[in-house]
Amino acid sequence: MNGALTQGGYHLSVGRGHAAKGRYAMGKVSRAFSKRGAVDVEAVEAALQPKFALATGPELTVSHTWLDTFDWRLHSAGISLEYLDDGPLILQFRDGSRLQGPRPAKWPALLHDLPAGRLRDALAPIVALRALLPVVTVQRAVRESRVLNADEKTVARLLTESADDGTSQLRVQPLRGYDVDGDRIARLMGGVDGLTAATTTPYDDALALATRSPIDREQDVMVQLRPETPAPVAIASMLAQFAAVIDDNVAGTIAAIDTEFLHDLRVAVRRTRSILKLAGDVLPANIAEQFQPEFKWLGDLTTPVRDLDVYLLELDNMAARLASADPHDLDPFRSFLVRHRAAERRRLVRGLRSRRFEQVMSDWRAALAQLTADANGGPAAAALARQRIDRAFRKVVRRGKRITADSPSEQVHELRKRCKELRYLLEVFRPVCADAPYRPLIKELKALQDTLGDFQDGEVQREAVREFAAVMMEQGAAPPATVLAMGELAAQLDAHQLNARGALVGRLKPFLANQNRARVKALVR
Amino acid sequence: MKIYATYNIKGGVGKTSAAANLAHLAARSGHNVLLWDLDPQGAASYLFRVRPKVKGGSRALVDGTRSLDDAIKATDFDGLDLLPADFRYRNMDLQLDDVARPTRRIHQLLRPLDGEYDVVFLDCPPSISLLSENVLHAVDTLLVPMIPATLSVRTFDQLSGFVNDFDGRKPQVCAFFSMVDGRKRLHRDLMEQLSAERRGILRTAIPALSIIEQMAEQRAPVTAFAPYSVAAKCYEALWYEVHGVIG
Repeated sequence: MNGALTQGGYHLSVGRGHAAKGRYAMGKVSRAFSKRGAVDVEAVEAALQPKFALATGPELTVSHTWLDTFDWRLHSAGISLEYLDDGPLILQFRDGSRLQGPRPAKWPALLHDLPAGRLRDALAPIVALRALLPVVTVQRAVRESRVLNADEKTVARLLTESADDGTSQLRVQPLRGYDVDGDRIARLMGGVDGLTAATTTPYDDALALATRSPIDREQDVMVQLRPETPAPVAIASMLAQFAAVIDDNVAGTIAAIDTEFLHDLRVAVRRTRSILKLAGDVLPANIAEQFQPEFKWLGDLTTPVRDLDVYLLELDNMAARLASADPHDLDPFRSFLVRHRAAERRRLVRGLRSRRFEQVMSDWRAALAQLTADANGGPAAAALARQRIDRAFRKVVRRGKRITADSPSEQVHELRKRCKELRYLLEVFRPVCADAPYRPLIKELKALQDTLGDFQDGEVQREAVREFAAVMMEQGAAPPATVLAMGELAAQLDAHQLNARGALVGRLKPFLANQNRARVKALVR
Repeated sequence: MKIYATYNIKGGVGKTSAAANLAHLAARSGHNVLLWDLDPQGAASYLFRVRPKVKGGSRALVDGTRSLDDAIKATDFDGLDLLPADFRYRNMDLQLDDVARPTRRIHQLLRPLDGEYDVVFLDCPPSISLLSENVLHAVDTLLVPMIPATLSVRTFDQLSGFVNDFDGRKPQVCAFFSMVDGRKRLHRDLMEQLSAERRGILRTAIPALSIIEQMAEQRAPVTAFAPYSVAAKCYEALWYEVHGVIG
């Protein structure tokens, strides 16, 4: 009837359960099984009788591709996004419910490259600005069989997949409205010789064959900083982690896969610079002095493109808020930004492919490796953390106390930088901090940083809009309507900044209160 | 979400066959489709091998103690779900009469399914009742299968007149000839004459074919078990015409 596998319906069947999300609560009964060797169809059939019959489908070899963002957002959310052969995209949630949608024309694909629909809506909050990339493709022998009740109605599908390593997986997928049968079938499968409840998903299994894996990242985080670790070793290993992040993100930045590669690369550079500044003195032999200018160069190299990325990402929102001008009046501004960005990107790519960059990174890795090998003695990481966090916090307090509603922007900007430094220190020394004071402290700091960020962005963007307008007029690229719309944009940013300024003093007060001073004191055990 | 109903005051004119085949075709073309078997006889449920039972019966659905979503069953066909019949649907008129805005209740009940389904088919029992009035208010398009006979056409006219008197939103009424016997001169003449005289009669006609009757043996739409048959091609043409006309 369904002709599932033979007519290429396998794709549809796997995907088109189109059950409402949350419907297939997996409950206590496991519906996924694994087995060493092939699944014995006759044994499965025998176990189902007499209540159910099995309509066995043919075995097909399909290529099965999984997708994820570069930073494994889908994997972290317990979601898999996959397709079989040339079939549609299938999104599978942790609870087994699924959505299906058409595939985009090519990979990598950003959210807006996917056709509008429920699948895209479900991915949007998770994927955000990141591109979806193929992670791994495996060839699997698959068979889809149907489990029929006494009316010969299909109540569940049994999917078996065999991997090259000789293991097989069997999944029970009840049809909508047949969950009770699904559980019953799953219990029957649990009794089949050799089938055991699966502890991994097919995505997990396929990831074992991928060139990259989420575990690399997790292991990095696992390099636990202990209170007694010698400070130079602790600092060197943090810096080595940031260096790895920089390395990780170079290729994606050059290939312009999504804007987050450059963003992450910049964050790692900024963290490197901050740590060198705030704790570089524990490293021997002028390492900090030697590399600080190089990382400043790298930071500066990446700034123009990132700034333009931010304008372009924000432009639609800003255009939507225009009251007097038409959003389309900003189109020439957008084209200008795009052209400008293309030119700046060429410069950035040249920089990232330069001998200088290659040399800096290889020297840096070598220096850090040497440090970790040689380091001996010095203060313990906990002592260093206590001292540096305390110092950074005091700086924030000192600057913060001077801020009033009328303070000049430079002072607010300075405070923002000190807050960032405090944040980086809190993040890198997280493993030696006590939970109780840490959580509220970082929460309040984040809230303060958000307000400072609003203030600063408003300021910088307003100035930039003015400068861009001037350049565009010089180039004859700005029709009057566009200049007027940009004027309105600048006014909006002004108002936004004024709001942030108003909120700032209110946010600062609780952060500077004695309670946080006490938290900082109690922070490092 | 586009809502269609197959409806006729008379029974045995091919309503369920049309609903089952068109719903199957809609799903096959990639839409998420729901077929609600509103007829307590449960013919559509039988065709799809789904037991004609809804927990709490129509009362629970009408008074909202059970959502439609909860009662939906997947058919064996991808993308096609069924809300089964229940023998207690025979009392639906009384239950509808107990709620506020009794003629708009079915429309209200279907609204939450908007994000989930692209196309909904309502397979209605043959009668003129509060339920059928509900259906007329709920649908975008009413598909009226009609045996080529003078009396059938009179009923179609009555129905069109009734719908035209609605305030506000009116469904589009599309009739098509069903169970047509090409050997009968009367069928041929009437079809020709009526199509010329009246608006709202579709070009596609569904012939009386034994393969359509075999649906009850096969327990599947003819478009699934005999996709290359004349009958299947006719339903395809009908779906194309309906979907093309209505977008």
